[in-house]
Amino acid sequence: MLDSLLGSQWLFDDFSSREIAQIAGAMTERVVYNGEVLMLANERPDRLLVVLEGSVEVSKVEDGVDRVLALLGPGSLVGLVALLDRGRRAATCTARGKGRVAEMPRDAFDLLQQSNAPLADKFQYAVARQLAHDVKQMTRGLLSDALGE
Amino acid sequence: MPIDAERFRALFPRLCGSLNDAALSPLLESMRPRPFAAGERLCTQGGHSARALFILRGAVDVQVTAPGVTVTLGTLEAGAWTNTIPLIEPGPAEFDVVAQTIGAAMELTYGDLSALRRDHPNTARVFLGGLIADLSHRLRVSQLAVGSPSGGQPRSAREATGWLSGTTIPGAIVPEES
Repeated sequence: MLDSLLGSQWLFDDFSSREIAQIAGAMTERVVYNGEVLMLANERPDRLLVVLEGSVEVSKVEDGVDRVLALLGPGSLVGLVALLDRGRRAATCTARGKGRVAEMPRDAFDLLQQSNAPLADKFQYAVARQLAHDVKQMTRGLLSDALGE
Repeated sequence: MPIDAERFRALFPRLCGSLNDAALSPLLESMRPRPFAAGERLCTQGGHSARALFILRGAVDVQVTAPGVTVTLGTLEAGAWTNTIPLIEPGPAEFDVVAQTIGAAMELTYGDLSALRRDHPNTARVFLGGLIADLSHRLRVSQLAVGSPSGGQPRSAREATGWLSGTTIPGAIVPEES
């Protein structure tokens, strides 16, 4: 089940079924429910999430009010920045509606980042694609605000 | 190879500082020189883009156009790079890049990067790691800006320079070690 869900996500479109199985082997799948907080701003990162079904809202409190930064759909990797720079979570991630996610523990993520296996190289590129996508969305929003569009 | 490894490494230490000459060579051989004249448009906002520029000499302005206004977000000089997002995911360019002065850059396309990943994975891994660190840093800066005194918006479009690639970002974040 997890293999087929992972394999259908855009970030993993160039992974072989064997590579998908290896990635899936490092993850656990679970159902999430509307309003469930999956990651909390300012906490230390302990895992990466992949949204398999449903959506995850990324938000941050600003002057006491939640500001939604992004709504992430299936295929999104969630929680990358803090895992990469070893800082704390910058935002809170909350399930919107019932959905399904796969979780990769930090140790497994770090191992993939440090490995030179072909699978790790593909995973590294998937990380780069996700970050490129996120930066594009964030920049677009900030510039739109700044230019008053 | 139009630029020697030592000079490129010195200009772009965050991307290839840990690569020795032999490991850096395939990356430099994948790139092409891109000289430019003052006023020349190197990238057009909204146009298809699949190449990044690594500035060797001179300066380029990064501009964004909204209805009725064109704003220069920042100026990139030697040691900076731009357009890494379309290098990873080709698509419409987010900005105009216009040469402010005469200068030169090295150009790397999506196809070049794909070939480098296939033929020289060790070099590609280090280079991509540098790009990932840069993208991650830009996201961190952006996320921290939300909730800043400016209310999550750049105080001016120019302030958005901090979200552009390859720049030395003012007030760079030093993440807390876990």
